Amino acid sequence: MSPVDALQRALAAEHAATYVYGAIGAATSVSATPDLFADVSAGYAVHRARRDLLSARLRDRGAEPVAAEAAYALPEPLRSPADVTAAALAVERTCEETYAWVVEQTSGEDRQAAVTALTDAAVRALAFRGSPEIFPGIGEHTDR
Amino acid sequence: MPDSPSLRTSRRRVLAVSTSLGALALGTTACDLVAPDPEPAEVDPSASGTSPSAAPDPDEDADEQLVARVADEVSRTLAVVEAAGRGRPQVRRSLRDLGRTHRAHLAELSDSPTRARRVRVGGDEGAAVRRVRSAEQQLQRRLARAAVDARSGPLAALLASMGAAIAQQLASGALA
Repeated sequence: MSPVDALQRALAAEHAATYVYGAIGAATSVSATPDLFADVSAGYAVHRARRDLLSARLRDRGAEPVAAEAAYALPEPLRSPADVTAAALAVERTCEETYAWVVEQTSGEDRQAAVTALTDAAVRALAFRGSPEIFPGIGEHTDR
Repeated sequence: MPDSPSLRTSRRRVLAVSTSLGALALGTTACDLVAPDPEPAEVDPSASGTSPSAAPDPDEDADEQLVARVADEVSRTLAVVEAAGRGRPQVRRSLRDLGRTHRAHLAELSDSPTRARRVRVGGDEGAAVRRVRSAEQQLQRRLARAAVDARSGPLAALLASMGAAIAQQLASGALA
């Protein structure tokens, strides 16, 4: 697995995260749940920015960034604030796992960026009722 | 640095356990976020064991030193957490999860018990919590740096995860 391949996997995850955040944002009411709407909006902005950054980094290396899928499976149902919160938490938990894996596969600046993204996902998960973890992103260590 | 059997054993376990990380990250997810295409992560040869008489591996030696240094830093920070709670029952309760997190991290880094440290944290409850917060912020930065410095990918992931756990603690509970 080359660093470029690892970045492509991260980009694929960010395409999906951006899509899911867009969908759950559409299911969130700014007037009824302003705090949740703000958290979802912030999550959308961060994942979109990271998607664009990864695309640019791949182009800088002469690689064609992997394209987004036409659609992604969305969590269902997606009607209540609890549904939205659970979906956003699932996105962040998955990003934790993805970036922990990218940390493992890369070095230097790429790894530094993945460490930052892992930390961001772990902290962002707390906004969606996630509990602090012992080993974010690498849950198999927690059974010790 | 002389070889430390306990650290070497521990890191082997860390490496062995972490080889499944790729499959975990890319396998089935709640949101189907990433197309499943699991590929086994690159396995560090030391994960399957090497002869004790094998020539020293510079990368492995560097990681041994890194693990020892990180374990020492975690141990020092844990001592601050414990000292902050001494004589301050409410602070002790509020920092219980943080202490548990540090102990779990230490257990992952080293099989041998860490040297007991005695630290004094003075002042009222607010001052004690501020001292803990400062120590945790410093540890979190060092873990992030250590993750970048690690030669082994699985060790890097472990250290990055530990740093993320501390970031979560800093963003929640008594330290937020």
